[in-house]
Amino acid sequence: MQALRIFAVSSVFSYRALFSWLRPSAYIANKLAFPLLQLSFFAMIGTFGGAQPLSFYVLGNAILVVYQAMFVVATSVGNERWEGTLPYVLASPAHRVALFFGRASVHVLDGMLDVIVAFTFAVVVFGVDLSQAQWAGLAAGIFVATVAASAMGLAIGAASFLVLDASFLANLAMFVVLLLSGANVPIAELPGWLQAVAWALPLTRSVEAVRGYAAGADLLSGLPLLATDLAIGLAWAIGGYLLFSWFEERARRMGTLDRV
Amino acid sequence: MNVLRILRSGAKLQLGHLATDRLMLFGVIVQPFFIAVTVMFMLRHRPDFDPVYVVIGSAVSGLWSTVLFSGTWIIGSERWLGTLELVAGSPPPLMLIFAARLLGTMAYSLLSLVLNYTVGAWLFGYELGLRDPAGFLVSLPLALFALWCVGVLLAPIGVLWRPVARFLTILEYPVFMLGGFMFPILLMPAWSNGISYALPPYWAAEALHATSSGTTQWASLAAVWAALLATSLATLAMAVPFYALVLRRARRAGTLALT
Repeated sequence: MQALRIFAVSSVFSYRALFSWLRPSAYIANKLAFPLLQLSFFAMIGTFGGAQPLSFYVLGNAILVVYQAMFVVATSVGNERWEGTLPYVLASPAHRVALFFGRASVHVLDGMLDVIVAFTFAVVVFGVDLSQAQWAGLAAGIFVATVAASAMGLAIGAASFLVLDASFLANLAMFVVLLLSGANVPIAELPGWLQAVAWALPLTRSVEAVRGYAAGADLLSGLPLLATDLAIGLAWAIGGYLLFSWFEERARRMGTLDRV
Repeated sequence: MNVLRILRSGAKLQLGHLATDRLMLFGVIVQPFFIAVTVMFMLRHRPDFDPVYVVIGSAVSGLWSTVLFSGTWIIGSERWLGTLELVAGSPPPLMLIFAARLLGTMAYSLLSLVLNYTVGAWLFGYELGLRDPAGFLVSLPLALFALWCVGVLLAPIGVLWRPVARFLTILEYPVFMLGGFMFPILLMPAWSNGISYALPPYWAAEALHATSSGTTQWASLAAVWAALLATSLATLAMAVPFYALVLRRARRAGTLALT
């Protein structure tokens, strides 16, 4: 019960700390307007390029709105040091697994809401046809993509303790995902070594599955793709937790907790 | 001479700040790099694909991102650092001081142009020749001037109205689209074309695209340059009263240092 309480508290606090949301305008600007504008930009370039139908770009970028969850999870973990609260977190007796993974849970729900808004935008503004959509599959795809993106955010947040600030790393990850997840460029068109990177991302298969479900594909056909992304996302999160644990152990041993 | 000295020292100071600012480094180098690579892949199937168009478009996107973030935060950062009172109390006009700082931003943002040429030439192996080098040499400083004018306008707005400032930073992608950086504005809804024509970044991109990859007819190019100059000067003129308002509000309310 104690671990569950810490999981919930950690989750809620990490959500409330985001973007200094003192006003709804900050939420609207950062969480809603920015990703929709980015979606529109890449959809328009795709239209100009003409290599794929418009729905390819719009749906790909709509599902990629989950990078918002990745971004906020990464910064809420990584910014603990910048905000000066990391020593308090690490000095607490709280269970580390609950504390670390709790950071992501509310963002999964919030991220799903972002994607639903993006799909509504795709239908209303770009006229994407979802009349044949496999809705259960679409919902599963959105859920898996959001969980996977949040898991990636945990890893990036932990990595930011060692490398750079979390915002820089999360922004970098966002552009890597835009290029390599198949949302804008078909994976087959990438050079071989970039394809290997693309398949290691926990969103690549979700993009493919969601496109299929939007076109009415059978529910079972996309489940292996989603299961693989879920597994890869879990691997990213566990990697992040191990990094976090290693950082904590090293910081205690060497007194480098606040080293920037 | 005094003005030149202020411009030089302000630009130098700003370059020093930017050299250690990771967010700006991201905006100038990392983001345009990824945009250039992604858009190269997206547009290369077009029969009339021109890599120079992508290189210039993504470079202008880097220039715009730098001006947008630097401009909206340049006065606010003085507040955070606790130096705004010293700046406001110094003899030179406030507008001149921040205009000088933004000159440094423009110089820094040129990195974006260099980097994007490298992406096109080295990473993709394209031959990137300028169709009209002489015209480009005229267009480049005019384009930088246009974006600098927008930065000068954004600076006081960023500190006068915080809710507005919050929305200013999301203007990044709308201006990418309305400015025709990566695709012609004819693809945008017709009602938005009027907005494009009023924006200096649109004319900046138009001048750079026309001289780097377009068919350059001097008569039409002169018209683009004239529009570029006119919108830039109008933007600069719009900025003047905002700087006066910053100082007036600060003196009347005594809120200069409030963050």
